[in-house]
Amino acid sequence: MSGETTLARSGRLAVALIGGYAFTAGLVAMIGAGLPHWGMERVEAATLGAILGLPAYLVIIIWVASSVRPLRTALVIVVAALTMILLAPMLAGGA
Amino acid sequence: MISERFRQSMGWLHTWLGIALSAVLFAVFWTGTLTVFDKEIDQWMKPELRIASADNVSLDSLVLQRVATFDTGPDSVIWIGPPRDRQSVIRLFYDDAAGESHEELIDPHNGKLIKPTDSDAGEFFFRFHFMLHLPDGIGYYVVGLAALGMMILIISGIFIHRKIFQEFFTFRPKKRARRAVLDFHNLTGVIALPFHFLIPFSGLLILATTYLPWSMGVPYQGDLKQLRTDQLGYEERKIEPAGVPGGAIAAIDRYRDRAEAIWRSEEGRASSSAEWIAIFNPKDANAYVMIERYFPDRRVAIGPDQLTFDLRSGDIIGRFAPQPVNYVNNWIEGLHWIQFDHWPLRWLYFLAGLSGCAMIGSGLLFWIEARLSKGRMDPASVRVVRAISIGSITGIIVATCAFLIANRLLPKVIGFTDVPRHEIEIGIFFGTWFMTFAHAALRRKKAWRDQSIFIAVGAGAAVLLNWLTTGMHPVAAIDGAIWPVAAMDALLLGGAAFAVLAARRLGRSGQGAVTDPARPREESDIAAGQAV
Repeated sequence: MSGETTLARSGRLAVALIGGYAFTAGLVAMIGAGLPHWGMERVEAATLGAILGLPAYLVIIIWVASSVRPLRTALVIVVAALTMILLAPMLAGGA
Repeated sequence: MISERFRQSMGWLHTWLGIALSAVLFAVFWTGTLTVFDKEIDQWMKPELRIASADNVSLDSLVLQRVATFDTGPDSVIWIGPPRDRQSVIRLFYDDAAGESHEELIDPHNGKLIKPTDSDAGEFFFRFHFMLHLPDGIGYYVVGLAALGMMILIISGIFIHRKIFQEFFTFRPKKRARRAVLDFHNLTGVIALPFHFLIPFSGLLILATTYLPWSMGVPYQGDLKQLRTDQLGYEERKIEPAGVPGGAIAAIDRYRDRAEAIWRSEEGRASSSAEWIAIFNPKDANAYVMIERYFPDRRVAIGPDQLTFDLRSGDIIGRFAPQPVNYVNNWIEGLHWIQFDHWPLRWLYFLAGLSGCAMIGSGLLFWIEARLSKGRMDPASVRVVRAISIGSITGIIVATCAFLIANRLLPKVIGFTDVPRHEIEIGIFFGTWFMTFAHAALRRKKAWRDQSIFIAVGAGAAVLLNWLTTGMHPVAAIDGAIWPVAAMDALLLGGAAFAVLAARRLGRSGQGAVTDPARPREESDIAAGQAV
């Protein structure tokens, strides 16, 4: 970490904030779209998504900032984010 | 066990976010702290609102006649807010037939209309707190990013310090100034740690649909309006207007009493009272009323709790209360809104807010001094960074004093310009704030001391001007039990005294925090200082 260039650190911050946002957006949408399938009302599921999404965002940022293999971490986050963002509307459509 | 590597990564995260966000965070914390006493600021800046509280106010006799004269359309809504603990006037809101919004304030003792001084007062700080007075909602996103950063700063700050709780009990004001600044940063950070974390968290949650519009809309196929309706209930009209004129509304007190009796029977004697009475379709045969508690006065969790009555039959035709998850959400949001009546807690919020300001300010100061001591900044950068810091910290406080002074000096009716009075006040706030940055760039390190003196003089002048323009000096305010004014004056005088002490201390040390390039590194500086 202490040997990293400014560019590498900026990259970490960008992945943490932007990738983290995408992950959070996907997770919140998944919770909101998924839980109604188990009988929770939409308004409750959407709100629960927001409550849980924020702490998830924090965990992602800390993870990216401290990761020993930042590229792999970034890849995992981006793939997970995209998967959830694509999946959530389909889940909602089926409800 | 936390590795040294992890601690170092938290160090650079803390430093980067700290530098990037300190100025915004300080402004948000400062205005948020002031907003804790927004209604009291209102009474100070709009002397017409300094009215003793009234008990058992009958809205039937005080406002219904007036409400009947409003030029409302067939599907208008009239909102009536009875007096509350921190707001003794009755508030009326409605849209007229042309769709224009109106607000009226009524004296609860005699039903007379009150024309307050045209000032945004506490509302200005409230709006600045989450919108920064920037156009197009840009402020929402800047503040949101700052709130997110604040939570990361708190988490990384805990990890940086190996012995955070031991350091909490360490304060060495007589030691090297730089060391004292760091001790102070740790002390103010830890003393209200849960507050410093919960405030940005709850703030983000309040604006969740703004920050996560797509995600929140997914279960609703993008229909955020329907989401708001499900969260807040009242967007949907219970009965459409009949199109036939109805008689004047004769009574609303009885519906308020019934709603409060129902809440009392469910929640016990300490249940909250009605906050709003809304009359829907007011001049139509199908008029109905809704009794609402949006910010309940004796409960942390905000509402809305609503009971809707059909005026023709007197029956309850609708009932809304948040479901469990939303109730949890509203409890967290309620922590942020602090609209419940609890004076000791309100003062603790104020003190915790000030400790947040102190934490942010001292963190920024420590960073500057740490960089300076290593001689890693050229003089021009030092000048810029220091001017930004001084303007962000003492500058906004000077601007706040100028805002209060302008409010007392400007005549109630301004003849020489068409600019509304409240906008002139805001212009003076920003003009003064801007000048504090310029002043700091010119005076360099001496600006800390100068601006402390400005604050002392400004806060003292505000108290004096309030006395001269309203005749209410601090003793008279206490004597007349006008507590909002008494407390505002006391805080201004206390702030002035504190600023004098700060200026004296800054004067003694010659030039603010002393730097000591030759000193050996101390343990907890390593992560914070070295990581840059």
